[in-house]
Amino acid sequence: MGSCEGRIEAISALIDGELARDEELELRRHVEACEICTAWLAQLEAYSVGLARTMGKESTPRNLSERIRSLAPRRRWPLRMAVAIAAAVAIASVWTLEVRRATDPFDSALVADHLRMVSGAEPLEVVSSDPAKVALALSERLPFRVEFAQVAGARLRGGHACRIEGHSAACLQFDDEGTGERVSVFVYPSTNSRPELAPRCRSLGGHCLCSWDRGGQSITAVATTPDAAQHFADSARGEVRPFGIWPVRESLEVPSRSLSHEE
Amino acid sequence: MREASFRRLAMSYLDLLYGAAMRATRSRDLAEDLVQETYRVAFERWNTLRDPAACRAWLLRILYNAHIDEKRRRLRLIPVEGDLPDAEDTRASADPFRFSQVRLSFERLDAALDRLPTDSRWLFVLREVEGLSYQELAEVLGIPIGTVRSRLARLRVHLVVALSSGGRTQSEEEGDGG
Repeated sequence: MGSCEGRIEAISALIDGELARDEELELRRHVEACEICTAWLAQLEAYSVGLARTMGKESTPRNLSERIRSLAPRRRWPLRMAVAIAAAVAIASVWTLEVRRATDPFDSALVADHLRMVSGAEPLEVVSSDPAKVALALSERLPFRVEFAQVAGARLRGGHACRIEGHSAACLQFDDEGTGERVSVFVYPSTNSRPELAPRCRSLGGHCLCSWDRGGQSITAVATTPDAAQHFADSARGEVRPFGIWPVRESLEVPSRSLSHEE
Repeated sequence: MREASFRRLAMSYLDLLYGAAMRATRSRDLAEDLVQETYRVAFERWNTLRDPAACRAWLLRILYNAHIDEKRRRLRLIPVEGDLPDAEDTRASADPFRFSQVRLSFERLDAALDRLPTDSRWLFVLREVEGLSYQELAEVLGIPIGTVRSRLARLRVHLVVALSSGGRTQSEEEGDGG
């Protein structure tokens, strides 16, 4: 028995898949010939299986997330003034190049719908954090199939079907963990003859919109801060993996009639 | 990695950190305080994290250290690291046949966990609940991999004994005698 006491440690590591190949082979040969170690292996396996069945999941209090977001460090201007100014100038320069001030009525309608949802004036039709459930429920309400994946760093709240300037669209609501703000993401059949794979960002009425095309559908993220909208766009392009995958479906079932004929 | 990207990545581990803290502390208030302290430290030192893939272990190490610090401040008399209780039972358990015929009773798990010293409880939470690898456990707990392996084996033997209806302590058995 004495020689087997030291093997309990190896048996424990074997269950975890943490033994080197040669050590595992040696141990398995021994266990086959040793009743004591066979009994220990069975006992520790039963323990492992039993634990997996027993351990539940703790749910995080809602207010904890808010408290932690409020901890995000504020920039200390006296200490970082030079860096901050340089960064601000750089960002402003890039933003001036890339952000176009929108006057498109379609964009205005997107922002209006976003505000209605954020203010709670219009409740979500589908409340779930499960992308598959939300996609299925919205697909039943729309003349096209909605398909999307969860975006890491953002919590899905649900969605609703809406009309934007006469076009059917799915509106998905997310809580962005990075900025703590609510982001609306609209998905609708693309009307662009030339798909824009690179996100196009613009500002409108204190909101930022980033749009891109993917697999026959257009996607527009609407948020208050450029950072939140840009996050979804970055995820779409896969440039900040593992932060997310955005619509993976390459062929979208677009209704047979042209969008321009919709009322 | 940008600061906003780090914040998103860090926040994606909130449920994991809170779950681990709850199981390790058995107290909702303390778990919330420790997780909040973890994020305070992480938001201050985020730019010292070189590899985003190591973020989970990095945050858990901050959380573990926060708990150890809190425990040392609050309860100086209780050892943070220590022998598993009922060590004589663990030694006696070298005979596995004593337990092989009985079913493990996981209703006794909470009580068994309550009696564990802090470092053993964290070892249990991080391996058995969160599934960290031995390498990650070594990083979070600040001990060599060999120590992780031996401590984990001892912990499991201890819990098998504690969860087994045939694994009662000698005093329990004597109490049933009359």
